[in-house]
Amino acid sequence: MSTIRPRDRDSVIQSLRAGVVPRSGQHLIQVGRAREIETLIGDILRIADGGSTFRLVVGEYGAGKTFFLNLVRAVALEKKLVVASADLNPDRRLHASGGQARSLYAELMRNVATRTRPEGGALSGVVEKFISTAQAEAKQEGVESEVVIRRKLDSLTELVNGYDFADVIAAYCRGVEKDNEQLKSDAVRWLRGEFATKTDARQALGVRSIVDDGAVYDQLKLMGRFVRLAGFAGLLVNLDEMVNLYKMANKQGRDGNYEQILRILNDSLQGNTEGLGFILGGTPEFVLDPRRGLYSYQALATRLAQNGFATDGLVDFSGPVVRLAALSQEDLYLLLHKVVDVYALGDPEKHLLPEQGIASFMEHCSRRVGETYFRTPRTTITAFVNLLAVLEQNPGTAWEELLGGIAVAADVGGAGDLSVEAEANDAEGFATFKL
Amino acid sequence: MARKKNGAGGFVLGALVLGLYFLSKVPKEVWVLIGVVAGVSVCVVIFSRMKASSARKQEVRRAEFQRSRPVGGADPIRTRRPGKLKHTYDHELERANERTAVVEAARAAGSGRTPEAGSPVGVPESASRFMAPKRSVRQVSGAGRWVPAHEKVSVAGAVISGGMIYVGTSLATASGTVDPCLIDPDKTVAVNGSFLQRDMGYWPSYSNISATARCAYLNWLASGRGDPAADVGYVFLYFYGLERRLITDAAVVTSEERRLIGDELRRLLGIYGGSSSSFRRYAGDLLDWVSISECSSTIYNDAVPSFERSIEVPLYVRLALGQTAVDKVPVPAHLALAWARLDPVISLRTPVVRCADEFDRLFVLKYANWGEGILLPKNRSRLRLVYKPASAGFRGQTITLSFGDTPDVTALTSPQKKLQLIVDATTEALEAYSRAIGRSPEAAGTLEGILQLPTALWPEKARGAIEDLKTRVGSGMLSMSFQELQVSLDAASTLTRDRTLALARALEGFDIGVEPDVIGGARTPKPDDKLVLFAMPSGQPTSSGDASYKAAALTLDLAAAVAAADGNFSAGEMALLRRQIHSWNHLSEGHNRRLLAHLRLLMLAPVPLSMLKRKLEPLDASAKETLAVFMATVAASDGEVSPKEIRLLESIYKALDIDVSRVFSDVHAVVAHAEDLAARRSAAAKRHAPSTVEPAQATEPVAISKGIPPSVVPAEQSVEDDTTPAAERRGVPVDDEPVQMTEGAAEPVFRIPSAPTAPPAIALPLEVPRASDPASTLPPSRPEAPEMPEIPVYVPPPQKPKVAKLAAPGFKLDSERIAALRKDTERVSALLAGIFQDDSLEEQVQPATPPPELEAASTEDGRARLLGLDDAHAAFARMLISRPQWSRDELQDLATDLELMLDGALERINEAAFDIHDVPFTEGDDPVDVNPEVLEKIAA
Repeated sequence: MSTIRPRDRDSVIQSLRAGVVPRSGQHLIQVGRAREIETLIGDILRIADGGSTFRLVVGEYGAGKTFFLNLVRAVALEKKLVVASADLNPDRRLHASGGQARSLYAELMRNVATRTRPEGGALSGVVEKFISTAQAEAKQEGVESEVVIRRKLDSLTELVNGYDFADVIAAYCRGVEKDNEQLKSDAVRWLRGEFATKTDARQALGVRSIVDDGAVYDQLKLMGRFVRLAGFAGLLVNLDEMVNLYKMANKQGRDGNYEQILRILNDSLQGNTEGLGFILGGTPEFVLDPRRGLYSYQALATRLAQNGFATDGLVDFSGPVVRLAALSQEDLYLLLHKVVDVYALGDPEKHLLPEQGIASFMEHCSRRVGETYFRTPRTTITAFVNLLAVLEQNPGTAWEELLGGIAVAADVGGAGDLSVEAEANDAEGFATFKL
Repeated sequence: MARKKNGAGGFVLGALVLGLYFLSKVPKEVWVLIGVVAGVSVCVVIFSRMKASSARKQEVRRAEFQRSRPVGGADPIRTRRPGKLKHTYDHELERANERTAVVEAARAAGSGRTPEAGSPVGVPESASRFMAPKRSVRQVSGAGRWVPAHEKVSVAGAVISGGMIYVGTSLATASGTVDPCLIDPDKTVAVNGSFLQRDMGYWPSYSNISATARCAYLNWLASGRGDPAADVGYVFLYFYGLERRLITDAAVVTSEERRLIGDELRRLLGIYGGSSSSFRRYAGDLLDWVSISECSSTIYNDAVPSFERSIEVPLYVRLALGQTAVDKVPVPAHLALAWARLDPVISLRTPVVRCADEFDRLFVLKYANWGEGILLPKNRSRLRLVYKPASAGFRGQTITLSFGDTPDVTALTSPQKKLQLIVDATTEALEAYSRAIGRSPEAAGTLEGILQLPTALWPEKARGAIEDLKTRVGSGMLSMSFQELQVSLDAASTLTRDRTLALARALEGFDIGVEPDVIGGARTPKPDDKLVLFAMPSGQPTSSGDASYKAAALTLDLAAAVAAADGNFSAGEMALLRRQIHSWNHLSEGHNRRLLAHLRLLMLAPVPLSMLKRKLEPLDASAKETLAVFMATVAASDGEVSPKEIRLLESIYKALDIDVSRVFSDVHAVVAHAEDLAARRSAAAKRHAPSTVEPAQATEPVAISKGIPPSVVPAEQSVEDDTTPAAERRGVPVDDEPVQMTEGAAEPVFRIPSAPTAPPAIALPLEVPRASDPASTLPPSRPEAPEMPEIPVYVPPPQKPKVAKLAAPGFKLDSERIAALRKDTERVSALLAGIFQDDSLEEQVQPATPPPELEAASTEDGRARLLGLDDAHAAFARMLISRPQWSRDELQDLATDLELMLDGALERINEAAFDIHDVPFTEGDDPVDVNPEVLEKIAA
């Protein structure tokens, strides 16, 4: 643990500097939250065991939901899970009638990641791994590989769309064997949910169904089984920015989505699915709002409620909700400390900033933007990384002199979370940094 | 006129000379005859003259009486009787008991003559002969005598009981005339006579009034001497007798008789004193005479006989007061009361009359509170009694009594002022009661009436009821409906607001507080409304006066509304609020007790939010924020925030003018923090020192200051101390604090003040963070507690860090928390490191992977293949190693040649590489880079 891979370091530093959550190396700068992480690792192990889980990660803007989800994702990849991640937005929902749900599914499939391809786009790899295994088996048995594939996928056919799924995989196999690129790409398109009409799908692959808005969750269940057949431990689905459901103006639309969530939750907790886990990231209002949030959906409200016995210091972490407390000054202090450490590749000798420097920096920020500097630390961290970059490239510069010139802007991106049916808050306030 | 006189004189002279001439010529016999005739005629003339003059005199007197009556003053009488006989009692105070009062007049007039055996004096025998009544039944005869009170006499057919009259045929006054009071049975009495009509002169005498008047008088006496409509003349006639008995016959009057006469006088005064001021004065004076004619030198210790209030203080009272001055003792309460009641200078208002009894008792109590009582100075004006008898029998004499050097304190003014003060205070206390009684006299005995009284005057039964209540309350509290309370105190009807207020005040007098605080302005409870009675510390104000109490009560109201929102005011929520109340130590004990009672009441009947809105308006913004966060805490305190509670919180936030969306973040923060805290505690309790983690050497935060040599503040080395729960190490009593609001223990918002030790903090000499970003539309998600001095409710006494003097208390890091976090982080790091571990060590343990050449050679045995891959994939991998970078197309061709699918093959190879070397084989998609690390490792 003392050694830090340069690749991880660069990933972390680059991401932090850009104000986004790193895709890898999160564990290097994780501060605290041991209990939450233990809980989630437990989930991952359960998925790997063929179980199913459902977690709702709730935290305020800036509390580190995305960071946490990414960390979990990285852990899951290490545990040989396939991870599909997507952010919800007005065009990507769990349930819709205008193609938004299929759009979400497509996004998830585009972002399918494995340990070998943590950045996503691993779907074809997964499929091919399955097929190659089947082919090897077929070769040994001396039968057509499609026969083996059909046999292996037989267990999927009991599920919704199972036959068609098997057909598509078989089509892919045919495409490989007959070197038919068109067939291969059609099959992948189908798997990614990119066929908009059934007619197109039938013409291209001979299947009568497609992944449409209503079949997203069923398709995910199929994928969960499939990745296990392909030799992976299971499928973890990461859905972030759930607050977009909260923002929906149409109550029926919202309830439709919440119904999907309820379905997922019920299936997961009843063990109806296999090797499939869900992690949903959302803000407190997404959960608590009795009119628009999950609490507005009675069935969910009762299922998400805390354990009534877990009061007065007793805890129960088995509930479906994981709450992330906002960062405190001390959290940030340690976080910055870790950043310095990562920057120096774990070598205390090479630290660019002493501990006093960190504290002084924090004090500087608190003077500039008040307490938001640690509650929504994005801009603070960005500024800090920039400071380190300058120190690194200009050896001998006194950090005390640089401090006064640092401009930190308050991160006000969280305000967008509350604007209902507003535009997606992609344009979050990035830091402005000048020396 | 002179000439006329001279003429008349000459005529008389001539006649005289002529008469002498004839006389000389008259023979002796003629002289004898003339003498006899003249003697007879002289007698006749004298008699007739006498009769005529007496009738004339009576006419004159009657006219005078009519004139003087309305004036009512004593002057005309005095001036008409200028001749004064001075009767002096030598009154030696020191020897009062053996006083030898000598009535000189009596001695002069009738020495050696006892009234009982008194014979008629100065009344000619012939006169009685002329008046001899024909019909009168003589049952009493002989000399006039005093009929004692217990004796019955019958005069002219009228049976008079009660005595106290002189009856007889003769009774002389000092001047020798028949005493006017004497009822002479020999006098004629008419058959009819109404005592309602005036039928006699101003100074009537029984002997001289008409027969009808006598009849009326006797009727009046026989009818009990009490008809208020009777003419006062008859009363006077009766009064003359009493007067004579007391003054003229003083020597033989026993003290018992004196008392009886005094009582009789008072009775008469009660009946006739109001209608005749003249009688009131005479009778009052005589009463004075009675009261002091036999008394000790310390009458101020005795009960004061009752007197009517008149234009001056009764002599008895003055004497008693004077005696106190002589003895230099304070005026005793009963005397002061009598003085206050009788002194015309002191104004008495209606309550004194209407509730005389209550007034007296309260006056005595108040007088006792005055201190030692009023100590009168011995002033110079001496006390003396000047008595002017009413009876004509005394012929206008005045009788004066002096009392040595006993001063007349009524000449002073300052004692009266003091008395007036006490009277006013007493009256004021009784005003409400007096009004109540005035409106409805039947309220006198009921709770409604009693409530208006000061508790000291409460009847025993009512006091008992309250004492009973008090024992039931004990040192805790008691909840009951208002109706029950009323019934337990015997209320006849539902109490009005005023009465309820009075009841609350009365209970307060017994150290029982009532919640709702009607005294403080709360709504009058309805009969079914619940009340909570609680023991309050005596002498402490519990009424909801000051702002801090109001804020606290409001907080409770809100909190109760929140707690009850899910339909269940759970024990956890209750406990939290109770703890909260106990932690508010800026409030007085009384206030805290009241708040607890208030809480109990709220548990029974929470206040709807709509009623609280109005009260919330005047709060300032920071107070509102604090309230809001506290409400979130309450909602979460039972471990569950139901949608209903959220809804209510939203309306509370709205009422508080705080962004409603803050509800979610606040609730979330509360719940997350509670979990966090609990987790850390349970983890700390479970965990034994993790051997894998060496506490970082850099765990010593230091305090620095720019330009000044940094003062190193060692953080507490609590890292080793794993057995202590983290929360405890933070100076927070674990059991008492399930909801610590803040992340940093240095700034607890709802701090339970029992946490005695302030955690050492990393002291950074930094300035207070200024929210210098007005453009920020996002409010700080949590108020900073120490910056709200205007609501003392929540502000804990600022925790002074022990370690260092802070230049800027606003920015500081909690070293304990950092230490705890560090441990937490180390645990996570260890956990994650286990997952993300570089497997280089394991790899070395494994038999060294054979180099590609060797692997190729050993493919035959199928075991030691490259990365454990099958033939095709191993071949593919070997091809990959040969170049650092491939384009996707090239690889695609390569894969096709090997009958592999490119993505699948890469996936498999990479996975194998991960499994064995924990590094990917290739990176990137197009072009595909071969990982140099893998090359090194495989080559190794």
